[in-house]
Amino acid sequence: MALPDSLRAHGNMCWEIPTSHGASMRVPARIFAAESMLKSIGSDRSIEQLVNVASLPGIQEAALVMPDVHEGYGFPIGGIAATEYPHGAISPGGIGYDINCGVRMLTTEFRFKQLRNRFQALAEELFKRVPSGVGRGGLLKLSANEMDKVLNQGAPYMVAQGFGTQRDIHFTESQGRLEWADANKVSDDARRRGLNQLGTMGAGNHFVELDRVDAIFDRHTAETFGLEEDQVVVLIHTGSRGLGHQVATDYIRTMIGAMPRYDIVLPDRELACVPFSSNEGRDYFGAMAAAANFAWANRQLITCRVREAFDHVLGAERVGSIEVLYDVAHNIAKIEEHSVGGENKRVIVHRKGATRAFGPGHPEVVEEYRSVGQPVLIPGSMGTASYVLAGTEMSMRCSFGSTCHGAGRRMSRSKARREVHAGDLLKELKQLGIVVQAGSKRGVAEEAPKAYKDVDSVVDVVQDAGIARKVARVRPLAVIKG
Amino acid sequence: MAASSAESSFCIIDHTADLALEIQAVDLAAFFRQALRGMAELILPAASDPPPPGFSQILELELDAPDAEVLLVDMLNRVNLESSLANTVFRELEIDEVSARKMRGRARGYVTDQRFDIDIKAVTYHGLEIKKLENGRFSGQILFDI
Repeated sequence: MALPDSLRAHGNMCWEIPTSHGASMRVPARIFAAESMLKSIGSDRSIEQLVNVASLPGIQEAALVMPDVHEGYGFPIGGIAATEYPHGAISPGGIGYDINCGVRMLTTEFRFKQLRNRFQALAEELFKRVPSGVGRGGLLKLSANEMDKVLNQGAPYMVAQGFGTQRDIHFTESQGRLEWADANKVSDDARRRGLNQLGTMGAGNHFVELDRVDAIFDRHTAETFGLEEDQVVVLIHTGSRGLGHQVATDYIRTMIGAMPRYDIVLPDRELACVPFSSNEGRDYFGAMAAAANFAWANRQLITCRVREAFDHVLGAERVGSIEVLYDVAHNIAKIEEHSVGGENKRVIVHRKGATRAFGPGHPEVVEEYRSVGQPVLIPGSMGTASYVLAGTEMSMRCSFGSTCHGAGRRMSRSKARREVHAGDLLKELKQLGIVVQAGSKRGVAEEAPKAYKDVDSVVDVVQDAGIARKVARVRPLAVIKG
Repeated sequence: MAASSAESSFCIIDHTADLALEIQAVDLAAFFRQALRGMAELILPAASDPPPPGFSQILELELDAPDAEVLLVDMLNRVNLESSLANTVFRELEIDEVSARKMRGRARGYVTDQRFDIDIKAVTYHGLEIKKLENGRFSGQILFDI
């Protein structure tokens, strides 16, 4: 869809399509982007999808997309929609199939020079210990009873079983557990898909990465987060795996059947939704939360595998501890309180490819970080930088406490395979000092840096718009992928 | 990439983050068969994993849905689920009965040692419309979240 004529500036780095644009729009649609990005954003169906999101029953204030937006199915990736609580819509498409796909950063006490010759060995060990790729199961197979506990209790259950520390879950969004999770609402099919997937990365854009802090933009906040220049950190990017995919599949189907009962008609079935307060809505919310807990348990177990890999490779040289800096979800729905039209209201915030970015003073930000805002982790591609940002007060006012989630794809996987020779790319990355341990050359080509938007530009936009603040930049040293 | 049989065909289409199949078929049953074949080709191209003679794995399918599009997505999601659980590639679909609201038949396939090329998270409804053309043929596009 080309950019509509009605598009107009709406503050710094923000553009608005008014409700007059489409008969079904209940609120305006807003795009956070630099002017130079708009043409590219208008080249796929992102804008059309955003306009469709603006038609969701009970949507509040505006349908939003971040500068890393690209076409999805139903919702655009990079989208945010807050609906009225408790009778507004809940839409599985507004969370996505990979429920609680997210990012965790671990800090180490190593500096780059100390590990200079160990990145290859660490990458190989991580590749062994964190199964990756299509269909690869993990080393831990859950019993039915254990699965229930993972679904209801999330990361804290893993810690109770000896996988990690209380500190790990303290520094995880929602402490790694959504308390309204209801394992009974997760189907047998979903459980079967997740049974041996705990501790696995999956394929596609998921990764475990060793990075070096190469720039600090805000020294005070970096210190608060425990970051220093030249420090080696670890990024983990994965989600709820097949279990979450199946939960979304099950409930989109349920809602398609239920929508006529609620007189809901939508332009795209992937937007399928029901009133949050309906039985179907409550059931989905419980199942979605259970899948989110599974994802946090997954990243918790992978954290332990990372620690084991460091122990194995470094032995007695291993110094200090490997700690969780923070863990964020970027595909999730939560009930949160926000200011809407000058009034504080509880709303159901859908984030699909968007990260929570609560600002300073917010009670849900852990005390250690509360004075500076929550950490926001923005992964780049395998050859480019990733960022640590901090949430802001502006994000609370303008974007339901949300910001971008990554670089955003700009090239299809097939096109990337046609344009990128995996062997050449691996050589280029090696020259840049980046070790890649991947399960398939196809995956390497598909995830090439050129297949993604420029993460630096994306982050600059959210900083200029004021909906996040740059704290530090990290660059990859070793990338482990499926 | 495209493949055809008896004047029905599928074609794999690029999408920014995902993959789609464009299907042309002589009737609804052929549309369903091409959709299943196309999905198998996405998961693991036959050229890189020549199917064994005879398919030992059989997945019985009996599905009801409000319309043909939902029926198709239900069928493909069911096959994708079983496929991912047991590393099984279902390449053929036998149909006993199909209408806009009901399908009965079975998918046939085989267990493979090969790693799948892609993980289909789900078959989506996005932009899905099975159109009956004036000449009586069926046409449509299916988007897969990968």
